[in-house]
Amino acid sequence: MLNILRMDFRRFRKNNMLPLLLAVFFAFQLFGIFMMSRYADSYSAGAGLGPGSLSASEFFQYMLAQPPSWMLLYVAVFTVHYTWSERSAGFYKNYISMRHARVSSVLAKALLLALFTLLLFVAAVAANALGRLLFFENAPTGELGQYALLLLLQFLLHWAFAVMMLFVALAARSLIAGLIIGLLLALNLVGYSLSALAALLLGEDGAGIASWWLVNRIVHPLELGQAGGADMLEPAIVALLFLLLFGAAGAVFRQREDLR
Amino acid sequence: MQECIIELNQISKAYRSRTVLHPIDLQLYRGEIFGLIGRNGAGKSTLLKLLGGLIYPTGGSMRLFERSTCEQRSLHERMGLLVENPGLYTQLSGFDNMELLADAYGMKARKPRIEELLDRVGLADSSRRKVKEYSLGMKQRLGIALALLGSPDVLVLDEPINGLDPQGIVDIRHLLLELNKTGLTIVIASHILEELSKMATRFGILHEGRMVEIVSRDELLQQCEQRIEIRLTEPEAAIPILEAELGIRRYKLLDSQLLQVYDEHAELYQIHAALVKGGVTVHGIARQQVSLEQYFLERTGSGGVRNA
Repeated sequence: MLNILRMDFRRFRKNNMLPLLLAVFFAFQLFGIFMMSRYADSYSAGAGLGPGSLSASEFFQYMLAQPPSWMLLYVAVFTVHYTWSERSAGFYKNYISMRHARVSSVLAKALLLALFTLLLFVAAVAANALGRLLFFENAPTGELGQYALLLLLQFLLHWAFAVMMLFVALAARSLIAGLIIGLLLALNLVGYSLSALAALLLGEDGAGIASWWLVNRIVHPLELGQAGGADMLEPAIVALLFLLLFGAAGAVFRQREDLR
Repeated sequence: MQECIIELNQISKAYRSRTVLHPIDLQLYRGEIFGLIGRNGAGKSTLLKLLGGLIYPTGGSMRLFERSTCEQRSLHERMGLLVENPGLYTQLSGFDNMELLADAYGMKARKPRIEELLDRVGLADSSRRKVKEYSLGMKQRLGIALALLGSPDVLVLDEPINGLDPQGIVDIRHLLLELNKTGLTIVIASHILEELSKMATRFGILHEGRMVEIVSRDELLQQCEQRIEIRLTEPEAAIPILEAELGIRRYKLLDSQLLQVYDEHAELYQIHAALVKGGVTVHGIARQQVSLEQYFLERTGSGGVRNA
């Protein structure tokens, strides 16, 4: 497992797309904040508050809730690209017959996707901090502990999304199919459909059920610091559920797959 | 007695309703070069992928190194694979590709081993160049170096000389023969029969997913050797005449009416005259030779006409 992880990590470091993707993400994030500052009046964070008056954690959530979720799109594209680059090169043929290599390669990729998600979060936090400093005067920082907790929960949720995408990339018959499914998931078309269906069938209770869908949970702002930490628990459970479910599904799929 | 290291028992493969390999029995022995011959789509790559553990059989069983792969799938890791195209990251250098695989093997002192292998396949000078700048032959050789990195017991190669220029083909042949001398068992699939016949010690002819024939190099060469075919009514009477009159020792009685003589110096008229003189009725006599291609085509039911 560690050997395969080491191999994937070396490939990850040598990936030309990675720094480019992070740089583009950072630049667009910054550009988004700049545009927001220019048209602050038309943006509303609820209760008549403009984005400049939001704390760091509120601003982060506000950015995530803006459709489409750029972070999810980047995760989807990178996951499919990273998985398929090995597949189309055929490099797996060199090592896949090693002991436990099939399962190890899925777990190693899941861990590297955690690293990619972390780098994306670092870029997002840095862009938000720089953007708010440059384009919003006196933007409040807010409580740092709450911000850290939010980042941790959102990181878990985004990593779970990456692992779900890993399964999609493994199961998809072509790169294009993987990308299309990834984009549909990142744009939350599944989530919107589920929400509509749940509302239709269950009325107001449907909203609660639809929030168990991973992407709904990501784009839905978290209200941290609530009594009993209930709002913290639900996203954590959703993240872990999706991580385990799709991590296991990916490993089982790879184990049984005929590698043509 | 040769050690059997690969044993396939009624192994088969189907994708949904399409059968790609019908049940096959095959034994491969340590130190041999087994050539797998077949047209495109005959099932050669599928068989090699089964050997390498890339795909799972739908029927039958496989024993590698005297143990069942059902009990221990990791036995496949003792195979070095080059199936279809070499699995390479073209944006990385040859050395980087080797280093990635060395990571997967958990090799510690990797540099000398990688350099040794790259030198062996003739890529020492271009090891730091990106693979996308390599020629087809260089990619094949790098693929072989990758397959050798784990010090395998068996090297499984699928069409390693496809698309190579004549010099490239000679280089690969020399490399494989050299590796075989070190005791490495090689399974090599190709449809370039002439080249395969220069390397393989045994051949398996695969046609439409069926193993049509397994033949040793000696048997194959004998089949393709130039010979005189004599059609006659009493071959038992003809043999002593040929031995006594013309000193012919190499012959084969195929059936009650056909005798094959493998003697380069015997002339048709001499044989005919000797037999007539001895009172044997000759219905026909002709010089025959089957090329490798004809031999293969005859066995795969694709026709083929014998040269007179």
